Parts: sequence; C-alpha cells; structure tokens
Amino acid sequence: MAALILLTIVGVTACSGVPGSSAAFDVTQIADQVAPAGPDAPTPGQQPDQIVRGFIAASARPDLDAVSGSSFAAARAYLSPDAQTTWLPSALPVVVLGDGYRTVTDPAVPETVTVTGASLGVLDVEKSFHADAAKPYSWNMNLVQIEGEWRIDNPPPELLVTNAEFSTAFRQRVLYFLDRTGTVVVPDVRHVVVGQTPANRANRLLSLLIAGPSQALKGAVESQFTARSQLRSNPSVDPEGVLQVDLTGVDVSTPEARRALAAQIVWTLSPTSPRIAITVDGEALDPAQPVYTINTVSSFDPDRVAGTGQVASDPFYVTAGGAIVGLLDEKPIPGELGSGALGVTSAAMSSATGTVAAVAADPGAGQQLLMARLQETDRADPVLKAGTLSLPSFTHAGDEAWVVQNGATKPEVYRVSATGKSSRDRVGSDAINGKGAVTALALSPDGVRVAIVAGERLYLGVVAPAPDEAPATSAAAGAVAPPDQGADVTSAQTQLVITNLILLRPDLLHVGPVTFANSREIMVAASTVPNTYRSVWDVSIDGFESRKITDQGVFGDIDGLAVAVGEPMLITFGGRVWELQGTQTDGQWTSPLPDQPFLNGSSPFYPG
Amino acid sequence: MAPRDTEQIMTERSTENLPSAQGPDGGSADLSPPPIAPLAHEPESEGTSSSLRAKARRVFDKARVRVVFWSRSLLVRVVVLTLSLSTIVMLTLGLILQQQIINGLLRSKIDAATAEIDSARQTVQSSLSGADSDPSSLREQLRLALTEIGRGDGSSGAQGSTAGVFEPVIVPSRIGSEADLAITQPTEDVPAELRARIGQGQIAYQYTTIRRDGQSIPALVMGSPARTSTDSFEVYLIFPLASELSTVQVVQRTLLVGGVVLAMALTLISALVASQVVRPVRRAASTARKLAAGDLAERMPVTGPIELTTLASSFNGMAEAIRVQIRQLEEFGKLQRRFTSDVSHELRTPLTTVRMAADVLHAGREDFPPHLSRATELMVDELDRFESLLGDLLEISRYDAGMAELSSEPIDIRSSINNSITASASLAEQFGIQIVTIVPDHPVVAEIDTRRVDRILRNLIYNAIDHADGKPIELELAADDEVLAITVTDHGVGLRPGEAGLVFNRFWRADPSRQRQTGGTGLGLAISLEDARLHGGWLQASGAPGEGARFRLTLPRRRGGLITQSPLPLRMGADPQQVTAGVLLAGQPHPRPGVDGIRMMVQDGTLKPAPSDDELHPATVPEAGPTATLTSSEQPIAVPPGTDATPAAPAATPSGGAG
Repeated sequence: MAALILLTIVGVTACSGVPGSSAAFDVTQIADQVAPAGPDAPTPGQQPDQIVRGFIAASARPDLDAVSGSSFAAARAYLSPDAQTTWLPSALPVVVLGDGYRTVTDPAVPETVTVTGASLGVLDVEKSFHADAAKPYSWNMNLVQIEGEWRIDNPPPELLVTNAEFSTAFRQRVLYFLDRTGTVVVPDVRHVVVGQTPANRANRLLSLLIAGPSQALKGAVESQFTARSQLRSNPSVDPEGVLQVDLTGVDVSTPEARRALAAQIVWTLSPTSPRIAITVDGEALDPAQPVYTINTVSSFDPDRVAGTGQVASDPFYVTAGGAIVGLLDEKPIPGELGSGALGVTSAAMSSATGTVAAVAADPGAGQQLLMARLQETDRADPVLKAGTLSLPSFTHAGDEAWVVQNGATKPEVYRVSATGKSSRDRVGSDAINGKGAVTALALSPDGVRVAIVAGERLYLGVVAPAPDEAPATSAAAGAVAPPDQGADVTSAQTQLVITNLILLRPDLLHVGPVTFANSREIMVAASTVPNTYRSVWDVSIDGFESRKITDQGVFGDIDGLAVAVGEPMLITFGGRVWELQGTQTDGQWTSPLPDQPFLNGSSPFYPG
Repeated sequence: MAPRDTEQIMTERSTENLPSAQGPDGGSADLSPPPIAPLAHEPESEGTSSSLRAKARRVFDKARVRVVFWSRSLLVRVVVLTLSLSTIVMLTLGLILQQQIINGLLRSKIDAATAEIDSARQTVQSSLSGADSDPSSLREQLRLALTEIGRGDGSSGAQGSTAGVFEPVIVPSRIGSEADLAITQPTEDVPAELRARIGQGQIAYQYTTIRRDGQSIPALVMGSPARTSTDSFEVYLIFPLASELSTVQVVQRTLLVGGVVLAMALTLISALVASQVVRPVRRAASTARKLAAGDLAERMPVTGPIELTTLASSFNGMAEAIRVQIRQLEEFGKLQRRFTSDVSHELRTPLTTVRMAADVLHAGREDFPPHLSRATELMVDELDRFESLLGDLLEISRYDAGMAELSSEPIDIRSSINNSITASASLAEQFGIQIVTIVPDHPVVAEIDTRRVDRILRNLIYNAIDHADGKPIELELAADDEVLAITVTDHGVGLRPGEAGLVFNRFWRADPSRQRQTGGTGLGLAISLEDARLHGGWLQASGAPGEGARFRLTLPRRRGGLITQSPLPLRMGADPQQVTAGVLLAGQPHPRPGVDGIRMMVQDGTLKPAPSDDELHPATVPEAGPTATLTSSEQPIAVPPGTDATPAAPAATPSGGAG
C-alpha cells in the first residue's frame, strides 16, 4: 500500500504538468517539401588554373543560387574551407577585369596561379564605379589540395568580375539626392547586384539611399536621410502592386521635408516600382498622397525645362562673321549679337530665361563675355573680360553663366550673373590647376556636377559650398586677381568650390567640346586612339559607360557640340555645322540644311 | 544459533510452564512433549557477522510481530484503509483534474499560437519577398522582419494577445545560412525535430525547454515554412510557458492541499465511526476476559445501539448459563472428592480390624488345612493391595483437598536414586530386568522432599519394570546450577501418539487387558505428578510405539526455583549424543554438569566394567547383586557417555503403557 502511494506521488511529481519536451506535432501541410540544395561543386579533377578561371566566372553569378545557398555560393565552392569562412564577397570592392585576362602557372610551382589582366575599373563598396585606364592587375592565387581537389586558399581582396560578365551580375541603378536648394534631385549612379523581385531591388536601393551619397557627391548634395534613419520594415509589394516603404528616424516636420523625402524615394525606386506608398513609423507620409508616382514629384526632375517654357528649343550657331543665327530659319537673333558687329566666337542660351551669353573678341585685347537678355533688350552687356574665355554654360535656372577665363595660362572659373545685375563670383577651382589648359566647362542640368576639359582630358567634379575658411581667401583672390573691367566682384552669394575632380574616362584623349545631354549623361567629343579625328562619345556620369556616337561623315576634329532632348545632335568641324541624321549608333552626319551640302559656322547651341 | 535457541526455549517454556499455571485440575496439558528437540547447539565460532545478522533478524521479527498484531486491529485497519484509499482516490482525482486543466490550457495556447504563426508567416512572406542573398543585407532584412512580427500592427494577433508573448525566429532554408547570418535570435532553442518537420512543409509545434535568465522554463515552439517567390524561410515563434507553468503550479498546490485535507478528514471520520463500533466490542472483550478470569458475576451493560444490546444480552445469557454450569460442576466435584476421602477414611478402621484378624489367621495358617491356608494367604495378599490402594487414595485426596505440604531439605539426590533402585532391585530381579544408572560422580545436592521424590522414582521404576518386557531400564541423572533432571527410560512397548498425555490420568491404562505385575494401584503416576508439582517441577512422558517410553522428572535445585529448561532431553531419539556433541564442541558451560564424571552401571559383560573407586554407592553395589552391577568409570573420553548409553537403547521389545 505504501509502495503504491509512493509510486503515485512519484508519478504526480514526474508529470509536473506543462511538458518540457515532446515530439513534434504537425498541424497542417502548407507547402511542398523543399530539400535545401547546395550549389554545384566544381567539376572534380580540375587543374589549378581551371579552378581559378572557374572561380572568376562563378564570382559573376552572385545571385543565381539564391534559393540554394547563400550569396556567391558557387564561387565559394572553389575556396578552401578556411578561406570560405573568411571570404565576404559582398563587402569587397569589385574589380572589372579585362576580358582577356591571363592565368599563368609556373610548372615548378603548380599550386600558385598568377592572375594578370587589365583592371578597367573598380566598383567600390558603395557600389559606385571608378574607371581605371586599363591598370594592370595581378594576384597570385595559392591553391591547396582539399581531399584531392585543388581549392583557392587566398582569394584576392577584391571580387574579380570580367567586363563581359559584369553586366549580367550588376545592374546600373540611379540613386537620387537633393541639390543644395532641396528642390532638384541629383542622380548618383550605382551598380547593384541583380535582384529578382521589385521588393528585393527596392530594398537594396533604399539601403544604399539611406547610407548616403557616394564619395564623389559628398558635400555637394543633401539627403533627407540621416544616420538615425532606417527602414522600419522590409519593403514589400502589396497585392495591388504598390511598394510599401516604411521608414523611421526621418525628418517629416515640414511639408518641404516630406516632399523632398518622397522625391528621393520615388525618383530612386520608380524605375522598378512605379507606385510607392511611403509610411514613417507606420503613419502615411502624406495622408493626402497614399500612393506616389514619378509624376507626383516631377517638379524635382533635374532635366525639366526650367522657367516659363517660353523659350523655343531651336538651335543656333555662330556664323563666320561673328553673328548668332538661328539654324532653322537662318535668321540672326535680335540685337547686337545677331548683327555680327561684336565678332562673337561662341555662345550659349538659357532655356529658362532666354538670356544669351556670348564670347566675343574684345576690342582691346583678349576676349569678353557679353550677356544679352533678349526678352527685355537687344543690348549685349560685357560682364567679363579676359585673355581667353571658354564657352559659357548656363545654370539650370538660367540665372548664372559659368566660364573659364585664361584657361591655358591661369584657369579661373567664374559664375556670372545673368539676371541683369552685373556681378560675378569666382568659383574655387584649385582642383583644376596643373591639369593643363582648360578648354571647356559644362554644368550639369542639376547644377551639381561640372564637366571640365583640361589638358584635353575629361574631368568631372562637383560644385560644393566652400568650406568655412575658404570664402575669405577666394573672395580676396577674386577681388585681386582678375583684371576687373566693369563689374565688381561681389561675395554676397555663397562661395562655391569645385571639388572631387576625377578623370572620368582615362581612355578618352584629345577631348574637345563637352556638354551634358541630361543629368546622367555627358556628350563629349574625343578620340580614343591618338592622331585620329574626334568623335562624339556619350559617357555616363560615373564613367562606366562610354558609347561612341556614329562617326559616319566626320572628317575633321570636332570643335563644337550641341545636344537637346528630342532634337538632332549638332557638331561643327572644319568650320562647318553638321547635323546627325538617323540614330546615334549608325546615323550619318550631314548638312543641317537640306538644300545645301554644307553650312559654314561654328559653336552650335541649343537653349540649355 | 542464538535465535533458534531462544525460540526453542520460548516454545519449551510456553508448553512446559502451562501445567503450573493450570492449577490443580490440570494434568493433561503438561504431558504433551515439546515440539522440538531442545538444545541443538551449533558451533559459535561462525563469527560475529552472523550474530549481527541475527540481531537484525530479531529486530525485524519483533517489528513484524508487532505489525502483524496491529494489522489485526479493526480500528487500525479501518483507519489505514480509509487513509490509503482516500489518498489514492484524491491522487487519481487530482491527476485527472490537473491533466484536464493542463490540456485545456495548452490547447488554447496552441490554438492561439496557430493563429499567431499564420499571421507571422504572412508577415514574413510579404516582408521578405525582397529577400537578398547577400548576407549583410539579408541580416538586416531578417532583423526588420523579426521586429515586424514582434510588432504586430493590430491586423494580426499581436504580442500580448491570447497567445501571450513570444520570441520570433526566422531561419533561411539554405545550407550554411546560419553561419553567414550572425543574427541574435534564439535559433538554438528550436528543436532539430521541429525544423525537420517545417522543412517538409508542415506547420508544426513542439514542446521544449528554454533557458532564460538562468532559469529553465518549458516553452511551446510553433513553426511554419514561409515561401516567397525567390526564397524560402522557416518562421518559429517561441512561446515561453512560464505563466501556464505558474497556473499549473497553483492548481497543483490547491489540489494537493485540498486532497491532503480531505484525506485527513475522511480518515478522522472513519476513525470516529470505527471507534463507535470498536468500543462496545472492546467492552465485550474485556467483560469476557474478566469472566474467563473467574469473575463469573461480570456482565455487559445492555445499552446503546440495537445490535450491541442484542450482543450484550446474548453474552449475558451465555455467561449466566456458564456460571450455573460451573457452580454445579464445582459442587459435584467437591462432593465426589469428599466422598472418596470419606470413604477412604471410613474404610481404614474396618480394614485395620480385618487386617489384624487376617494377620492372626495368617500366623496360624500352618494349622489349617491346605485349602484354608491358601485362602488365608490370598486374603493377606489382597489386603496388602487394598491397603496400598487405600493409602494412595488417601494421598491423592489430600492433594485434592490441597492439604499436601512440602517438607524439603538439602540432600544429595543420588542417595534417593540409590534408595529407589535398592527398593526395586528385588522386583527387577524377579522380572529379570537390568537397571542401568548414569549419575554424576559428585554430589548433586537439592532441596527436595525425600519421601516424595523417592515415591516418584519408585513409581517411575516400577512403571518401567512393568512395561520393559524384560529389557534393561536406564536411569539417568543430570543437573546444572539451577535444575536437576532424572529420566527413566524403558525399551518396551512404548507409547502410542497421544498417550503421553494420558499416562498421568488416574487409573488409566494403555491396555486394559494387561495385568499390573508390580502391584501398582493405577494412581502412582498421578500421585507422582502431584509430587513433582509440589516441588515446582515437571514430570513429563514421551515415547514411541515399539521403542519404549521415557519419563523425565525435572526439579529445581532450590526450593521455589524456576525451571526454564531441563538438562536432559525428553525424547528418546538421537539426543544424548547430540547434546554431548554440542556441549563438547561449543565448550559451553555445561548444561549437563554431571556428564563429566559419569558413573555408569553396565550390564555384566556388555561393557568392560571399570574398577570401582566409588564411595558414594558402596551399599548399592552389593545390593544390586546378581542382576545389576554398579560400576564407576572415569573415562569420559575413552568411552563417551553417548556411546555408552546407546547400546542399551536399540534393543526394543514390546512393552506396556504407564502405571
């Protein structure tokens, strides 16, 4: 009896009620069984050089094995176990290797394979591209035998991707930041791993966007995202196809800030997700705007025509006699500039205001910059005089024109007011010193980038507010250095400085005129082979892409270039103006006038 | 071994003590032989471990006896049974209740968890539709998805709903993904078995134990696969069952306390009820005990419940009837004894006269004609018998009347033996029977009433001669410090089973057709028994058919001494040798001190008679004369007493019963 009671008590204490372990119980089956599959291992028996080539080829398939393994699983399989644990490909810069790279094996040392090739450029960890001028690349791969198979023991500190395979692995995406005024978005080109779903792509772009502008744009652009900002949940696409973006840690205190935030996000994401719902901490960013499209924030478009839109986008050119003449109607523009009396050599027109800035020979010596507000008066006022002046470039708003004076000897960049009030500011341009004769300058439509041709090479910089101590020196320099003729140098405006100047395409030589086709593309006349005529190149602003425009019909060095959206491209060479007929890739440069085989003139321009 | 000894002694004592307790009209119970042959000594050299074991066994035996005793108590039985049964019932009931409560708790938990995992799965599927293969961004995405699950924005059952708090875990269904993703989530708390189930596409749950803040708590882990268009994940929600555990513990405590209290209360109630029944029974028992002790006027009170009044009145009726019967029997017996005594006394006077006349006639019988002379002799002979019969009757009526007195004085018992042998020597010779005596060679002094002991011995020897059928009779004396014992053994017809208790009855004879050759009256053994009792001693008989009979007289050596054991065995079997062997081997203080120096009387040529140097029985030797030779031998080693005694024993011839 006692034993029975004892047994029962023991039993009671044993099953203390809430089970601490059990078998697994199924509730329902909701999916098919998925056996996790690893990536394909390298073919057994491959030799060291084959392994190395296989590794480089597999590195270009970063995402293809997403379901079956972690990223770069295929490439990882070529590594030794030790190297696998330390190899973090997503944190490595990417070296774009020329296609004909070599894998050399010393017969005496079979376990070492030397990879040599040309590095065409590097994709840094921010995923922004920096072009290299075919810099030699070399890395000694040490291989070890793991269970009889050769495996790489020291993967290079970069991810090697061949040029041909780069585009299969990476896709160009554009992030948008804000210019200084916060009213225009500024593109920032990145190259991200190909994503499978809109949500995936959105996630990647948003994380890059939150991380901030690339090194090249640092200081020149603003972002609504701060260090505190982050995603509150993963972007997802709801059944109606609207991308849900939930943020936290962003400034939504003012309508302007909210609009700017929306503009950044929508401009960045709209290429892959046209409809976007933005919430901040779970609340809609703008209750009146549940879903954003690109049209909602079109006012931030950097390529938008500024101003009233009254200015027709008709092309002009400068005749041999120094008059500015409309190309289509053969009529000189009104006023002094159209008369040829001033001897204009090159000119530009603002599409926002219709103001024309023209460089003309100074009756004294050198050249002078004339500014003519055609909407108001026929008069052309000289605003700047110098030994030489480059082709002026208007800002997007048309209120300033930028020129380089004395480009060959002592290049200085000035921004000259185009509003009638005669004022000019010197832009800090120490960066261009020592790079050779500055022959051209072009402002990007968003006003942040500036393309400069110096020493017949193409450089790209950004315009940033000068550091705090800079204004005094630059203002002083501006006040003293330039031989003032007419207007005072004012330092009322924000002191600007050109920084982050980089050689955009090292392979472009003998660079002539340059202009921005839009905020992301630069049109430049250059040649890649010495002692040939220039042709027109379409270069992306990160220098990754350079597309040659057809050179059919070009038989001289191009010295003038004009592009406009929806209008045929104009060039000049040999003292004549030519127009592109047909597509950019296989068109033909012909005379712009159908009834004339040629048109003498120079410096064509569209209002821009 | 010791316990065995104790047991035997106890048994012996319980049987052997009975006669003295039985009082005057007993006489039969003491005759049953002790069930086990006494003194089966074993060597003690087996060590102390056995003695320890023995002690433990003794304690155990004692406890067992106590438990057995108490387990027979009705009250104890009722209380114990109620306690145990109610405990079992309460435990069973508590278990069932507890199981029901736990099952209910867990069922609702699982239901809520199922709803929760459903919403978590949908959250994960939408949240991770843009899952990246890049470990760093996937880590961030997983982190966000985890907070999203934990957040629960109202559309799903949120944290703190019926499902309670949980910890989410999301694991990509990929090889080696955990190695890449160092996310701080309690992945190790998800059992491998559950992960296998989820890998097969099941929503499943499993109980496990997790450690939080150094404490082990049970937990429910619910898991579900979550598939996006490009990737697949496993979502787990870990629900710690701490609150359920505390609820269950409260329930358990309540049930335990309630059960204990209820069981105690039930036991108390049952004890009360049982005592209601047991108390009258006890009262009846005590009344019956008093009645049995002789208080014939004791009666039960006729009160209380009907059943008990019925019992009491029946009991009282029975007691009254018994009392009447006993009184009648007492009167009757008294009358009978008085009658016997009176008749005996009344007969004495005429007998004396007749005796005198007969003696006169006998003296002058030569003058009578032969037939008258013969008649006179016959008359005198019969008168002798009549006189001794009358004497015996008077003697026994003195005992009946409680008039017998013990006049004891210290004396060497060997002289009594000699006297008896001398007195019966002629008779033995007449029957051709040899008497072998085994006595110690030193004086065995005891405080005894010589007359009565002589009478006992004489009666025993006569009885033995009567039934010896011509075979030798052995008479053995042994003594220790407290007790002496004398056995008289014949090898005649022996006693049939059951007869040993009857031989001391008055006028009892085993075979009624058998003649009393030694002139016994049929009262000798009855008187001997009374004599032995008067000394505070035992007189016992044993025997087997065809082997003979043995009578043993055991007496205390000091007046008023108590007998706990006898130095000589009662049974005839293998005992002497065994006893001796035991004594010799164990080297104990002699239970038979006299054995050391035995003088034995051996039949003429069977054993070589040793030269006699005995001065104790100088008279006996010549008197034994031709039939018996008293020889003394000091050679206990050369001729062990056992071997000495045995030669006589096997020779068995038919012999009669007792006198």
